[in-house]
This record gives sequence, structure tokens and C-alpha cells, in this order.
Amino acid sequence: MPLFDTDAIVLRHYELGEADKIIVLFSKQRGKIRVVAKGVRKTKSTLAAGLEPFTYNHVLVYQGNSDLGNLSQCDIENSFADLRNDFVKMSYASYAAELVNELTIDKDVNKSLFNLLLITYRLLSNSDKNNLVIRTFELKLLNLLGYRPYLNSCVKCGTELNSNFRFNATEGGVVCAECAESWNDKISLGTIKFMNRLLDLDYKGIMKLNLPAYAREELGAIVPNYIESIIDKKLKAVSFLEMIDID
Amino acid sequence: MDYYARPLAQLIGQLTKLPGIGKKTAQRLAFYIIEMDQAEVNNLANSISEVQENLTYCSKCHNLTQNDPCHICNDPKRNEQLVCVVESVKDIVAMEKTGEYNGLYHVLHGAISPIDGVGPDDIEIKDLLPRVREDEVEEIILATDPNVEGEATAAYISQLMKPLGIKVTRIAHGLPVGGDLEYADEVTLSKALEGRQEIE
Repeated sequence: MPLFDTDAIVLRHYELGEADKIIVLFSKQRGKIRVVAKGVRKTKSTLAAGLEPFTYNHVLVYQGNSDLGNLSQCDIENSFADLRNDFVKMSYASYAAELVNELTIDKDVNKSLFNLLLITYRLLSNSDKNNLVIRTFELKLLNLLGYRPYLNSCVKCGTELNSNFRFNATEGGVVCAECAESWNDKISLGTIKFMNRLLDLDYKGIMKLNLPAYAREELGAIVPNYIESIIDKKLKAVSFLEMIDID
Repeated sequence: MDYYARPLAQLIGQLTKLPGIGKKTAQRLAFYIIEMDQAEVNNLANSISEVQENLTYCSKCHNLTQNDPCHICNDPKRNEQLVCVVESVKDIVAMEKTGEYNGLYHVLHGAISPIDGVGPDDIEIKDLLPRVREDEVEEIILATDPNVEGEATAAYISQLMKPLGIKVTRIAHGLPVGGDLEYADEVTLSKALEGRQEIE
């Protein structure tokens, strides 16, 4: 079928030629797709506003024989303008987009992930709990993609949880003091329990929680580290967040 | 590249390094250059090497210039209390074409972009604050692009300037002249509505 329509969120874009762009979309019905948007950098382009990062669109794409589709129409469902006007929210939204872009493969349909990204952007733009929203997003994303960290006992020897545990990113779980290596991040019992709650509760429950300061600090180091060890490269938005000093 | 004589192959190879020029275009340009007058070829070659040798960045506004400070910063007729912040040198040209602006500029050479890992330290922001303080600037106009990166940069600079108590303005967003309201997207239209003005 050469022409198709789908709901999609814009993850990022690359400039192409004089006035075109390649847009990376995460779509509900087709997974992550790349489309060419012609003439979108000209001031009179009617597509331009719908193709800014984080925008939730209904798009019409012509897919010829090439791998890259051609974008022919887009109707904005929600532009998430609040995410672009606030520097901190914008940084977090970029981080979420980068995670989805890096952790998914092209054309792998995942509706739950689409809904997760959409609800994350809604919550980021409507609530002030930026940190809680983004930490929840990370964990739920890992869960959906099969990378859920193991948090029930030591991932190596099965020792029950106690206060001397550390997080081993290459093993993808918590390890006891005996099995831990020197480079493993410290993780407190409270943080482990908090992570389990974030993974198991639905958003209604999660938004009632408050992220304690110690969990905020530990999660901010452990989870991005774990994700970087999965994709085996540095995340640009993480270095950016470190640079501007908001965790 | 065995089909060409060596100097020709070399020229084609150099030309393909330019943006938007593939092998076919490079070949066409190379053959055109062969047909050109010797004087014109020399002119072209000289202009290319001169552009690298003679141009520097203005120490005040980071504009591309032959003399430091640049002709805009040196112009006594310009209003020094007004600074317009733009992303690239090309934007200065666009602003100058309007003929409406009489202040100075500050070129950032980029925009903040978390997704590409470009932070405030990677663009020319750091000397904007001291410059504004020393020159007793009264107003800063943020004329970065109306996209995510441009908005983020504008938000960052306005935060930076807040403690100084300087007037910080952002250029308006709206409908292009000669456009059609019917085809305008809702984001632009709502911005245009927000920034509406009374007709005098």
C-alpha cells in the first residue's frame, strides 16, 4: 500500500539539501519510521509547525519503493508547546525522544511504547513533577522493551535484599556486597523499593508519589548509566543535562 | 577515476567535497572550468584562498569580517544600546536586508540542542553577558529561529539576562506576507493571534 496514515510523535529531524528535512517519527501503527518532508524549511511551508520535535500528529505518508517515505500531510493533534517554552521541560522531552530513538529499531510496532511516550509528554507539559515523570518513563520504557532491571534479590547469587546492595549495569540488576564490583553504583534499599513501585503502579498512583531526594540522586545516575550500557554509547541528552546541571 | 587525466580527477574529487555536489555535478563544473579564461580561473582560485586567509571573526559580535571589529560594530551611526542575537552570520544578512534595524548584533554560531548534545558552552554565549554589562545595553532582541533549538536558546538567554534587569524581547511569530490564512497551521496562527496589534 503506497499511501498510509498513522498517529505519530516527532522524535528528531535532520536537514536535507537546501530546504528539506528528514523526520524521524515514532508512529502508533508503524513503529519508528523516517520520512522526507519537502520544502519544510521555507517560511511558507504548512508542514513545518507539525514537524517540530515532540509534536503529536496525524500524518499521511507516501511510501514508494524507497525506504524513506514522503510526508504529504500532517494534522497537529497536540503541539506540546509548553515543552518548548520551558528550558528544563524541553531538555527532558529531548531526553525521552532520544531514548526512544536509540532503543527501538525501525518499523517495529509497539503501541504500548507509543502510548507511554504520549502520556509522558502530556504529564511533562501539565505537571511540575518533571523528575518523577522522566524517571518513571525510563523504567517503564526498559520494562516494555525487555530490559527491566532485576530488583528482587542479588542478580548473581540470589542473596536477599539488604542495605549494602549496589547496581551492576552490565548484569542489569542489583548485586550484594559480595558480588559487587568496585565500579558499581551504590543503591539504597529505599531506592530499590521506589523503583519497584514505579514499575508496578499505574500513572494515577505514581503521580501521587513524591520522589525523595536520595532516590532522585541515585536514580539520576544509575538508570541513564544502565541505558548507556545497553546501547553501548553515550546519550547526548544525558551529557547535556549534566552540562546545564539539572538532574 | 581512471577515465580522467590526473589534474581533472583531482579537481572533481575536491569539488565533490562541497555540500550538495555529487560526482556528476562536479564533473560538469570541472569541464566548465577547463573552458574558462585563464584570468577568470585565477580570480576564482584567488577568491577561494582569500576567503580563508583574510576573514576572521569580529571579537565583539562574532560576525565574519575582514577587519576587527566588523563594519557594523564600528559604525558610529548605529544604536549601541540595542543588540540583536542571531544564530548565524547568514541571519545578519537577512536582518540587514529589512533596512529596519539600526542596532548591533551578536552571532551565536549555533543553537542549544539537547538532542545533538550542543550545550550553552558550545556556542558563543559566554561573552554576551560581559558585553551587555560593559556596553550598558538597554535591550536585547532574541532573533533565533522559531524552532525547538531556537526557542531553547532564547529561553536560556532570557534566564541569563534576568538578574541584570535588561529588557529582553523576542521577535514575533506569525503569518508570512502573501500567505493564506486557510492554510496556516494552528501553532503559527495561535502565535499570530497572541501577538496581534491594535490598528492605529
